[in-house]
Amino acid sequence: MRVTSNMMLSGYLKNLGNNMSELNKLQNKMATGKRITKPSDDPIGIISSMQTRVKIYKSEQYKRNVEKSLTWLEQTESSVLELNDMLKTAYEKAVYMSNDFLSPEDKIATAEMIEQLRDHVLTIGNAKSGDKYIFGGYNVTSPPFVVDDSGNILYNGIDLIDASNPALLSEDKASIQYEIGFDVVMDISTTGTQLFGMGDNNVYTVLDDFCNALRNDASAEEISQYIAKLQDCQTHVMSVDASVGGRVGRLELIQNRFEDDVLMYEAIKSNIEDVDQAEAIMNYKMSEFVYMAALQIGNNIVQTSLINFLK
Amino acid sequence: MSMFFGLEISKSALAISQRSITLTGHNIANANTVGYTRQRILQQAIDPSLAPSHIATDKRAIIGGGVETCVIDQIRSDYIDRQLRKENASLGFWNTRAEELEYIESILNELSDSSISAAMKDFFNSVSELSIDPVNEEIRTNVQQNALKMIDTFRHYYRGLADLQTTYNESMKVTVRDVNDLLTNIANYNKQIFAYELSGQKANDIRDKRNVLLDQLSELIGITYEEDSSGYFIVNCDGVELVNHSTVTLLEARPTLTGEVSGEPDYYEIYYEGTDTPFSYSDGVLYSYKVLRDGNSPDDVGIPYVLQSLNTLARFMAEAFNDVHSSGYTMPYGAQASQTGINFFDVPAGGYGDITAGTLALSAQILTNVNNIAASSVFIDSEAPNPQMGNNINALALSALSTKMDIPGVGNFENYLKSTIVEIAIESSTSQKMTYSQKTILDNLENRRQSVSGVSLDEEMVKMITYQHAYAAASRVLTAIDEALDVLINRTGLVGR
Repeated sequence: MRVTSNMMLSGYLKNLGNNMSELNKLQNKMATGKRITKPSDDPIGIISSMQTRVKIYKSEQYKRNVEKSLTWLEQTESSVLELNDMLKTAYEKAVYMSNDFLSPEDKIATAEMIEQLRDHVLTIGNAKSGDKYIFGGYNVTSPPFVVDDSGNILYNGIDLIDASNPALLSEDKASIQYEIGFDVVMDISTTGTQLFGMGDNNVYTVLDDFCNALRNDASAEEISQYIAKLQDCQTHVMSVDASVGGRVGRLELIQNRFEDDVLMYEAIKSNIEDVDQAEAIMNYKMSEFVYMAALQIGNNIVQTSLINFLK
Repeated sequence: MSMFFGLEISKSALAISQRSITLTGHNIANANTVGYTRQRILQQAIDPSLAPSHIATDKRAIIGGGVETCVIDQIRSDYIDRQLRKENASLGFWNTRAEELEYIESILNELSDSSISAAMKDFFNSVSELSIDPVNEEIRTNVQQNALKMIDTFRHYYRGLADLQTTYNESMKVTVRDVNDLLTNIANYNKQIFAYELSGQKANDIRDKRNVLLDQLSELIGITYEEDSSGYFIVNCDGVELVNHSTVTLLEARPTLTGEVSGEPDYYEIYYEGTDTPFSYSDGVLYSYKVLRDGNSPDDVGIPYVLQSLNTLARFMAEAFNDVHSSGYTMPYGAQASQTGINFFDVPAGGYGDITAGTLALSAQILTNVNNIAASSVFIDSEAPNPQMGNNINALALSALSTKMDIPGVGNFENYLKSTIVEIAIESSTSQKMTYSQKTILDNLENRRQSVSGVSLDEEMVKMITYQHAYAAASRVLTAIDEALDVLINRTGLVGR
């Protein structure tokens, strides 16, 4: 092939340009720390990169949801435990009161105390997490438990005693679900009916009845009935506590998993998108070396001509 | 044979050496001129004159008459030119496509936090948040604001892409003007070359200029060309004559179309000037702009294809979201009771089919009051003992849309967008690779062309020395004859003086 000095020079310039643009590319990568700046840099990699972006984004939202669920359930749990304490106190009183050596005055004094407990139990049933009532089912804005003028306890406006009322049964089934994962929801609610129980033996009515019995100077035998009833109530509340505790445990597990997942997704994303700095520096140094060598060679090409040797 | 005949020969030798040195000078002078083809003198010996041979003293000693110029020729390979121009159209097409698709990618800016994907994720995350706390008005406002942000993002990208489509339209018009200029100039050069070459000389330098124009034209539209036996030069595109010697068929861009998908007005159709026949072309920069402007299929990705994808996404997002949203119940506020059947996104009079990414909007109810976001699956009665305000069932269903895989038309919102982005990315990366390989081919051809036609300074130097020596030798011959004549004229016949 016939080669002219112009060909050599233009070839040299082209190669020098290529070297420069390679250097520029590598330098950009190092400065931004990004291997991919636009999808066409790695169309296949971008698929997983976009996938992980979605996962990270969603995981972070789910993590927030899980945290909120946990707060909610922890407050539920502390209310349930408090209720259990109340029942325990009432139970002890019932045991103490179930003998025949106590005067009516003693019974009335105890009745006052049980009344206090009963009212406090109502407060627990109307406990709030933030602005929201915990035990109202979908009713989060008004106190779920109200005592009407005749002393009956109403749950969301329905008499709690009437355990066969369909409206009450449907309130019992209300479940508030939170999104806690990809297509995973969890029922975080404990309805008032679940907390207190329905029918004659609901916690409030048992305490109320107990209180009335004491006031009416009930016999030891009569009072000892309440020992069993309060025991049942305690068992009931403990089972609620177990259910809440179980959910807290599951959420804590999920919370840890999300933290691991986010880390893993970040790692995958970084693998696709980020520059391996050590490799980048090596590549840069190599390109720089090639560029230097090209400049050196250019020095020779540019200067060589027959003209220099003609006398 | 006359002694003076030798002087004649020397004269022709001196003349041709001198002309060769001048031509060397011309070559060296144009060593860096774009499109210049090195020239050479084709010379031949002058045949011995036959007419006076019968009176020659020695019939066996007939000598030729020196040297003469045949023609000043240029050294050029038509084959390489044709190859190069054929590949040039392809380069023009892919190079424009690669640059513009990269630009489209940077407009979509998918890897940034301001991308459509990011805006959609923010929106759906706020809906998820709503399902946790449907009573909270701040969270409702957050849903509304994130929806507005998502709509703005859709509109922003839609506008940007539609504007780009208009830019390609303008580029087509400008390119047509360039093509017309080139065609006109080629026809002019045709006339000049033809007239010049009637004398038997070659119009080397004008041919160089025409060749440069042909190179430029081949990048814009893709051409074939020929020079017929009578010296007429013809340029074709897709089998239609654009230039025949001095006659030009110009092109004309008339605004008779509307933009594909975007519906922008005044889009150009290209015609042969003065006719209603559309210009037929299938390669080069002009065609590249056309595909970018009009391409609306996965194997012909252009702006309309991207716009169409965004429109489909916006349309089905609005429809799917409204479907779920309108089945839920709103939060009562002021005198307004809880309602159902409220749309979240605005439905235009013509139905969902009229929604584009550029017109997606929130419904008036959602814009007026965030309590109109329907998070509940049952009627909310603020007077009832259980108002049901904590009911989040509809909010959960709305949030679940983001991961749902069987939404009609798009499947899944995120996957749909992802597949569009990846399609553009693959198309863009293919174009970059094609451009790279076309560039390599053209570099090679350009190198080969230079190898044949380029001026080598070393070579010219050597030739110069050769011609210089020839000139010196011819002068020496002249001196020898001159001295011989001097002896004959001035010193002959002086015997015994």
